[in-house]
This record gives sequence, structure tokens and C-alpha cells, in this order.
Amino acid sequence: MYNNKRVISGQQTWAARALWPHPLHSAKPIAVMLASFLLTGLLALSTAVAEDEFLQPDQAFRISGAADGRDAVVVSWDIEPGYYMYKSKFRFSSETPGFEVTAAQLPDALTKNDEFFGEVQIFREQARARLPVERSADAGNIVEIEATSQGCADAGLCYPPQKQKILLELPKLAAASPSSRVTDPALEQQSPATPAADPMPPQRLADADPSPDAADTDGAKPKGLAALARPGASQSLGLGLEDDILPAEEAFRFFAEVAAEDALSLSWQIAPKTYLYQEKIELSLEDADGVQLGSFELPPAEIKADTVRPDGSIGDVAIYHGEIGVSVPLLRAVADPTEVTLVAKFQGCAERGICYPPVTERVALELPTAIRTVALTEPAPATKAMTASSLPSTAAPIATPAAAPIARPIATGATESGGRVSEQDQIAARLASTGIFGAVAIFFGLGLLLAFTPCVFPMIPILSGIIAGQGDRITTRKAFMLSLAYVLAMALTYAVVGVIAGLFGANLQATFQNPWVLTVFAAVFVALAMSMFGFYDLQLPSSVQTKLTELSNKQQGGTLAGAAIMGALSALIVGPCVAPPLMGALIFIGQSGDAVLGFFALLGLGLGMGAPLLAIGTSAGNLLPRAGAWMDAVKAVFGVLLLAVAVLLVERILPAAVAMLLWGLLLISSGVYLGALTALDAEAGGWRKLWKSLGVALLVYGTLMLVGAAAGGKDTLQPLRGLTPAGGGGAIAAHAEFKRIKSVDDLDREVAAAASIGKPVMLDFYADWCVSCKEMERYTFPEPEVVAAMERFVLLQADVTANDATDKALMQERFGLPGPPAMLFFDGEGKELRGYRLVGFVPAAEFAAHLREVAP
Amino acid sequence: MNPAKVLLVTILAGTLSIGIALFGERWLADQDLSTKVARHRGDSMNSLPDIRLPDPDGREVASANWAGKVVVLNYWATWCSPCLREMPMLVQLQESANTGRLQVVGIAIDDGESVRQFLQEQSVNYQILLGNADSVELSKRLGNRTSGLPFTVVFDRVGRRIFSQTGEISAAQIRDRVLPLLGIEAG
Repeated sequence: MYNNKRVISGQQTWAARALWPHPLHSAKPIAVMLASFLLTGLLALSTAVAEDEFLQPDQAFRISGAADGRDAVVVSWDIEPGYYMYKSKFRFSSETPGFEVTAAQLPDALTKNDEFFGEVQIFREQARARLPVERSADAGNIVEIEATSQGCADAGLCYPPQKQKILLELPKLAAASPSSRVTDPALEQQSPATPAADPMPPQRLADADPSPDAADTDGAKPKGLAALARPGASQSLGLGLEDDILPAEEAFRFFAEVAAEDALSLSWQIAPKTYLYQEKIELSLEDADGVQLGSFELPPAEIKADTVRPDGSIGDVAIYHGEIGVSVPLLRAVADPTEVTLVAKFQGCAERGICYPPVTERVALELPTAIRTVALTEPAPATKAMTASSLPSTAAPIATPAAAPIARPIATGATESGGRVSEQDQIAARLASTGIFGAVAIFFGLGLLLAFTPCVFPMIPILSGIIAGQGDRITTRKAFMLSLAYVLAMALTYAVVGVIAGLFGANLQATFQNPWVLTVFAAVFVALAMSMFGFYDLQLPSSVQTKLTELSNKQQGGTLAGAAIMGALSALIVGPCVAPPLMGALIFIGQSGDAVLGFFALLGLGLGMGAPLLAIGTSAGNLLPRAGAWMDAVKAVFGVLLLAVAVLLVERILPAAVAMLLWGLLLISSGVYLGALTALDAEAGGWRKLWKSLGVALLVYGTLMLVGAAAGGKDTLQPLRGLTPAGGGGAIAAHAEFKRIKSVDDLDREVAAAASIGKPVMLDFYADWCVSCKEMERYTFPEPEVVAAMERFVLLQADVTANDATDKALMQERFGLPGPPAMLFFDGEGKELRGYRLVGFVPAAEFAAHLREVAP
Repeated sequence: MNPAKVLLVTILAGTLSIGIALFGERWLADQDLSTKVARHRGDSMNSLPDIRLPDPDGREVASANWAGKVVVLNYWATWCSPCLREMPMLVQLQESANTGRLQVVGIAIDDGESVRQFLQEQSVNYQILLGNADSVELSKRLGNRTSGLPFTVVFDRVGRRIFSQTGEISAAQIRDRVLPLLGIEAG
């Protein structure tokens, strides 16, 4: 009331000022706004991303080259200060058929005394190698040189051998010298890069600027090309081994072509002494609407005994040498020409026993109009039929459980990855999973409710008058636009604050697990709630409010800019009704740590708060109720909401009985305030009766909670469960019995015992305060198919309600879990199957399927 | 004041807020080094990955063996003298810490023969494994942008990645970053 008076007098000033338009000072507030936004942006973006002290190898050692006369090239490196290259580790080879590089000439090097390798020859600042080049008559002028080098940084980092390639142009041979065809065993080893198959080098040559003065005379320095180093493609790691290992993209050249409108033709050219694994070839499509890969067959493979597999083990594998081709049919749902990206994954090894990392090649393909279209079924990974000569996959048993989690996203869909991480995250996750729109909707509702509080609602008609400004009667449309500008500006300001809260909270995620932090926040929420109940006022300091109000006064009503600025400022002038819920919302956003959620949620809040204003602006204001004492009730509602959040926060760390006590008290007092215990007047209206009935319901439920708490019940959702042994016992007995364990030793003993009889083990972490655990007990474990599946397991349960040192040792230290719910599985040999962990509520059908997967 | 200017201001404000939100998210995501496949928090490169590599005698060792211990992963090679220089410090760290609580693992990006020869001349009291090309990829995901050696990553007892160091690690760093994880006061 007190505040309303002050504000009202402020409005009178506004109204008064509105009558005398004054020079616009809007430029200054705009600058202030922009500056504050910029500052916020800078603050958020001022990331202290640790600069790597060390450079990338191709920045520390910058390669360049030029031709040196007709039959030599010079390859040199600019070496960054603080780095050096080993003289003995330089190797050169020619990648172009017809050219041969003989022994490189390197200048004298510095000597470094290495404590491990003795005296080593190194280069600093620059390393320059002169390579004599022999070429055959028809070889052309452009040679691709591959240089292998190795260097280190003084600060204490060594790079693996680096391979770099450069293209250099040599001047034309003077006359048709009878140089013999150069046959070099090294060249024979190169994969047959026919120009048709490998369009890249010829294209380069076409792009290359042919030296205009082709007829070079002696003495004239030939024009050299700017060395076209391809650092991306040709950097490769030698793994510290001898240097005749080809990089993966050279060992396996992959080609994909559109053979027909419904078929692709794929081929691999595999370099000599390397091979591809049949089982590792995977094909899929990206950006393919209405296109799917049909089933295809890989060609028959050779079986190689006793070879290194990609996982490092040795055995029989199906491999390909040389060149292979596959025709892949396409299933098209739409006849129009379209573009797709083919993603081919494959992996292979070199004969010497080194395996390449898996290669992923993406090829963009244009498909012409389809002649036939088919209806596509649910997208599934392309099936491949192995031919008869291929081996059944007898992968070692260890590999399967590890491989399973990777396959699972395809098989089980998105459910595994949907935010079921932990109890706390469930709330945020539920919000996130209901979608951003869900969050906007919820906060919109809250904002709307906020608009009906005593310090906001009466202002609304006055505000609309001020926004409209004085002057001629303005059209409804213009009034709406002005109100819209005001509301949008206000909502955006809230949204920015929400983002800041989210970013701030994201860094503090870990602290929200701490019981003391939770208690403090719960106390904060209680304090906020007390404010809403009217015990005291929480708002911005009056000096700040006055300043902001003055700024707002200076705006000129009737203009969009003025309305927008007023809106933005009004978001910051948080009065006593708005401050506590706003703080509550920001804390909630903060502990979810999601800045995007913060943006949209607070945007919704601001829009909700502004909705009645918009309604008035379009003269739909007739729908709005009259201000009255009921607005205090709205404040009280917020108070109750804030108290509920406080109880939610501490529920997880309090014993179930105390939590139930708190809930009970909250419900009872809400009921009383709703008039549950007040006698109804004879002529009480319909609303009054409704509120009273609601109050009575809350009262009863709250009483049940108290009774349940007193009787030692454990379930906040079913408070009296503990009191009915028959019904309750029946429900519990239906599901399989868990053996209780407490400590790590207990667990090890039981797992060993189970392993000795070859039975898999399921370990369930339970706590009285864990709602999902109770849901599992109530909805999942009793189901017959789950009971049947669980029979195959030895069932262990650890009750971590107490959360004492033994519990912590078991849960956090041993398994790295923050808290229940969690279900872990061990195979028949007693090893944990990490990939099968469950950390949330799982419905019965899914859980049974999961169990069958673990122990088929 | 024309509507265009107001619109501009509103758009600017909106873009800035959205931009802040998105960049903030991305920055935080980068900090987590999360990969596309590993959206579940347990799989992100914030935690000890599932490693299975052979030791110099060919026996496969899995990272599950080190569950519950502080793990110091050190990528090295026999041709890398900073790696050899810091090895005595790692040996001393393993010696001073109880094996039940801390495990130093040296992943050699090297060929097996050189490693075996090296180990014959120099005894090492911690686990040595032979890395492959996947190990290099893994080290990149763990923060080794330059793929250089040595590269050290430290994980705490529950498998959370604590910090990483490209290049030679110093005794001070071990004292200040690793020992506290064991509950030993620094200095």
C-alpha cells in the first residue's frame, strides 16, 4: 500500500510531464542500454580459454619450396624461435610418377647435447634442403614432393614425425634428352593414381599458372610456383616408426559415383601392402530426405589368419586387397532430383602390423530424377549381407559389451540419452524435455499470475495511458504497437537476466550437490516466501528505483522508442511483489545451468507479465477483472510456491519423515488459508465454496502426511503405505527380493560368490528420499516380465539413505555416481558392464528388455 | 526517433541476448570437450575413457582396472627427450603414492620393440601400454591440440578429468595439482 502511494504520485508526475513534451533525451538511455548489453556480452564472452603454449607443428615449422635449376628443388622450413628440427630425421620422396628424388643435401647443423641421445644435429630458424631431381622425358614439369620431418620445442614438447607435401614446378627440359624411363621401386609401390580416378593433381596442374616464359634460357631463374602445401591433407603422424607408411587417405582411396538414379557405385583402391577390413565398412547417408540405402553386398573377401585386428587382438579376419567395388541400390521416396551426402566409414591396416585409425569419408552426390519411388520404412542403418566366404564375427567376449553401448543409440532410439541422469537434473531435464515451448508456457503462466499481484495490476490502466502519451486520440492499432514495444522490451530485458543467471549457474553445478548449499538456498526461498506473505518487503533499494523511475519519466510517451525504453526499465524496477518470484525463478534457472532455458523461460515470464497490458491496449481490457483484495491472495499463492520449492530442495537430504512433516504443514496451512476451517456464510458465493473445498482437500492430504510421518512412513506420494502391512506387504512381496549390502567388501564378496556360480549380478542403489527409486519399486519391479527377467540375476541392493562414509565409499568412490537412483550390472565373471548402467526411472517393458540384453 | 531505430535496437538487443546464450552454451560445451556421440555425461571427454591397450608383453589392460584410483595418463615415446626427462618424476610419484590410490599409466606412441628395449635398460614402476593411432585421436580429444608429446592428463578417483598438460610436466605441477587429489596437502 505504502509503495503504491509513492508510485501513484510518481505517475502523477508522469502524467503532468506528458502534457508538456520536452526535448528528447532518448539518445542517452539508448546508449546506456547498448552499453549494458555490450558489457553483459563481453562479460559472458570473456572466456579465459587457456591459450595453448605450444604451436601446431605446421605453424612451428613452416614449409616452402622452390625449384633450383632444372634438376633440383629446394625445400625449406621457417622454424619458429624456441623450436628446432632434427637433421637426421628428414626424408624426401617424390609423389609424382616420372620424378625421382635422390639424396638430399642439408647444410651444416648446430649440435645439441641431448641428455638421452647424446649429440644431435639440429636446425634452428631455418632448415634448407636441396634435392636433386631426376625425371624422365615425358614426366612434365610439376613434381609433388613429400617431406618427412621431426622437431621439438625447447619448452619441452616433441612432435611426432610430420609429413608435408608441396607441389613445385620445374623448368622444361632443354631438349629431348635421351633420359631413360625412370623405374624406381619406390614409385612402383605408389598406388596407381590414374588421372581419371584421381582428379585432384591434374586439376591442380590446370589451375597452376604455367610459366609464360616456357623457353627458359640458362641463367634465368625459372618461375617457381608458390609452393602449394596442403597441410590439412598431408599432415600425418608417423607414430615414430620407419617412414614408408602411407597416410590413410593415400593407402585407401575411396570413390563414389552416381551410377544410376537409384544406384551408387563405390570403389576403394587399396595401396599395396595394405588391406581393408570387410567388417569395418559402414555406409550411411546424411542430409538425405526421402533417400535411403538399400541392402547391398560386399564382394567376397580373403580370409587372413593370424592378423592384427583393429581392437589389437590377433585372429582370422576378412580383408580386401587391391581394388574393390560395390554397387549400392538407393530407395527413393521422392522423384525429384536431390543431393545427398554419402558417409563411408572404413578401416584397414598395413601388412607390417600397423593399423590405421578409422576413416570417415563424406562425398556429396547429386541424384537425378527417380524413375521409381518407394515408401520408406523407419530409417534403419543400411543392412549389408556378407557373402558366404566371410567369417561370422567371433569377436572376443570382452569386446561385445563395450561395443554394445555404441550400437545402442541406433537400436534403442533416443530414450537412453534423454536426460535421465540424476534426481536433480530430472526436474530441469523434464523442463528441457517438454521442450523450450513447454518452459515458455509454464513461465508465461507464472508471469501472467505475477501481473495480478497488488503492485502490478492496478498500474496497468495507468501504464497504458502513459505509453499512449498525450495528444490526439490514437488508433487502437497504434496503441497496440506501443504496448507491444513496451512488453517486448521488458521481456527481452528479463531474458538477458535469465541468460546471465543460467551462465552463472552452469559453473556452479557441482556446488548444488552439496547439502549445505541446498539448505542455504532453501532458506533463501523461505525468506522470499515470507516477503510474499507480507511480513516484510523485498525490493530494489528505493534510491535505485527512484533513479530508474526518473529515467523512465524522461521518455516521451507516444513513441515506439519511448515505450520500449520504458518497458526495459520497468523490468529493472522490481517492486516487492515481483522481486521474490523473480529471484526464485533466477535461482531455479541458475541451478539448472542452462542459459538457453534461462533466455526462453524469462522471456515467457516477461511476456506473461505484459499480457494484460496488451489486452488493455487492444481494448480487450474489458475482460480483465477489477482490482481488489483478491490480489493479495495471488501474492500468497506465490508465497506457497516458493515454500514448495524450498521443501523440494531439501527433501533430498532430509529423512523421509521430516520431509513428509514439512509437506504436511505446508498443505495444512494452505488449506486453512483457503478457508477450510472457516464456516461458510449462508449466502456464500460459488467461488467461495470452491476455494473452501480445495482447502479441505489440501487439509486432509496434509493431515495424512503428518500421520504418515508420525507412523514412520517413507513415501511422500503414498503417505499411509507403511501402515497397511497387508496391502503394502503384498505389493512388495510380488517383486523379487533384493539382498541388502552395505559396504564395498560386502559387494565384492557377493559379486565373487555370484561369479563362482556364473550368475550375473544387478546392484540397485536405493534411498528413501529418492522418488525414482520408489517409482521403480512400485511400477517396474513388481511387473511379471521384470520379475521373470530378474530371476536370472543375483539381486543386490544398497540403501544409501543415510549417506554415511560407507555409502559414499561404495557409491561415489567406487562407482563415481553422485547419488541414487542407479542400477549397475555385472556379468557372469564378476566384471562390471559399465555400458549397461541405468541412472533413472525405467518403465517395466524397457527394463525387462534391458535385463534380457544383459543376460540373454 | 523513428520506428526503424527502435526496431534496430530491439533486434540488436535480441540478437545480443541470443548470441550470448548460444555462445555461452558452446563455450561451456567446448570446456566439456563433449563429442557428438558422447552426450551422456559418463562418456564425455570429461571423464576417464574406456581404454584397452596391450602392455609391452602383449597382454591387454583395460582402464576399468584403475577404477577408484587417481589416474595420471602420460603419453610418451622413446624418441622424445622431454618425455624421458620427466619420467623420473612420474616414477617417484608412483613410488610415493600407494598403488591402491594412484596409478600412473604411460601410453607409448611408439613401436613395441623400441619400448621393450627401453624398458630393459630403464626400469619403470608404473603401467606402460603400447598406444596405437586411436590413442593419438584420444589424446587430441582429451586436450592435446598439437598431438605433441609428452601429454599428461590427470583424472580423479571417480574418473573426472581434472587437468591436462601439453609438454613436460614439472614437479611443482605434480605437487600442486596431483597430490591434493590424494588428500595430501600441497607443499
